[in-house]
Amino acid sequence: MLLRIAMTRLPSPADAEDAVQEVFLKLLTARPQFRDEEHEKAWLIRATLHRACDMARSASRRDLPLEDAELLPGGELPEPSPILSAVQALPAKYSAVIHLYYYEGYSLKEISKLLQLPVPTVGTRLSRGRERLRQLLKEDVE
Amino acid sequence: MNRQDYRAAFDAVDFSPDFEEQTLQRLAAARQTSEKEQNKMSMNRMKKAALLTAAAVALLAVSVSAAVVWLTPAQVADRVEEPLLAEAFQSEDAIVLDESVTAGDYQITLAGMVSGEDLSVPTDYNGEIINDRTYAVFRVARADGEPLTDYPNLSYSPLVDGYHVRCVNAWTLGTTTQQFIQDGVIYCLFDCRNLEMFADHPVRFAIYEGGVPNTDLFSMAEDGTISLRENVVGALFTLPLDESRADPAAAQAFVESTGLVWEPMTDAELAAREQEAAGADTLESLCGVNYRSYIVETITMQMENRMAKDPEIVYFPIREDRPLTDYAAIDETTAFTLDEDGSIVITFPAGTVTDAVHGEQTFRLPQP
Repeated sequence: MLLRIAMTRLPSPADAEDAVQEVFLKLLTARPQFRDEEHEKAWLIRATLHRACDMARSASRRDLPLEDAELLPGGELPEPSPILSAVQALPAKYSAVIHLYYYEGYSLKEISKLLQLPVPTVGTRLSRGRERLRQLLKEDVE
Repeated sequence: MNRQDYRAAFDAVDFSPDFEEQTLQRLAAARQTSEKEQNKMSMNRMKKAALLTAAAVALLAVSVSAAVVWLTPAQVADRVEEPLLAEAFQSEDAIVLDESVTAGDYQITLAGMVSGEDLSVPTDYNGEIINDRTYAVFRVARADGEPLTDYPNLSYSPLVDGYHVRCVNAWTLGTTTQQFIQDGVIYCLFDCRNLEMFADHPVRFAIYEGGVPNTDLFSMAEDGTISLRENVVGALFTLPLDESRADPAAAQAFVESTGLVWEPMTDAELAAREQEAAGADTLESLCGVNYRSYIVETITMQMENRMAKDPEIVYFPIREDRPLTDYAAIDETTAFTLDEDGSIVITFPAGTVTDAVHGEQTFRLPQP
């Protein structure tokens, strides 16, 4: 689940794996206190999104696309699917909500708890994210 | 696209089959390294660590059993993969500060700083690469000793006495920040254009809740001294720069290059200006008491629309998912005009809300 969430921001599976590993390292070092499993899951999702966004931003700031960085040691990235590329092109606030809704099947209320956002905000982001996806994919989102 | 297509796209991603095993190994290695480092600490370091722990116990109210050893500025630079900078932080030119201030829920510590040329990976800031920079490392912990797990909404900015806070600040000085959380503490490496040119003035470093420095957040006294307003949560450190390195001509050239008013403005001058402007239209008189939120929401929406139409342009508030006010002040000092339809026209200088290459950005807002 976390790997797929990281993939909404990062262009390669290897970067997504790095992001998730770093989140687990953070969990090991920061030792946050969780009320229950749901609280821990929400923390992991938010931490993964933050880390993936930081990595994407850092790559962009250094003017070295992550795709290129991945290619440096050799090897080629497979052509990403149009859906994956479109989701990665969305602003993070939209892609997170879209992914949790479409892939993980969470309800708006559940997403609002996971991301600590008001339910109407989640609804707005889902709606705007869908519209952006529709434009990017040039087809209807069901 | 439907849910099945969406899932299929993500299910097709080829992750490493041994990812779980790799992760467990990496976690085990990290734990081992941490234990080894603690065992290898010299006596000197142990004393320092003990002192720091005592200070942390006193300042952060953490339990005595908590093992608190801060990362040094050099370790922070290493952690963000800046080896040259790590060396510089260990050189004689580096300044060790370790000054702490409690602000609201946070304990903020300015750990150290160093200035120089070509000490870090070159960063393009709005189309310009500035290699001569000042670097500062600071850390933020919760004042009650609980670990921080998320980044608080704090802004960081140098300010210089004798110059208006809107003219010399992180937003005009070409700033980047890199931060991470370790052991519940946020470590931040901040860098900007070399501040030593201002060394003949007191140079401050502000860490505070709020956006672009403005007169609502900071006051300026007659002699140019800058202070945090009483209602603003934050800390204001004074940087011990070497006065002999000041370059008044470069400083003046810089402030003039910003195109902003650089002379400080006292509260008395602000009040006089407000009184003078009382008869004229203001954003508040045109848009109502909630003019800030109206303007921010409308401009943000226009930014989203423009980005949707033109993929070449990327607005910082949308890309970073941060409020517009983190990049440009929206307050009584915001310059505006009215067009022939009575719409409010606000123009941001190039590089303020998007890359400088796109030029200045103008937004038209109908009066609500």
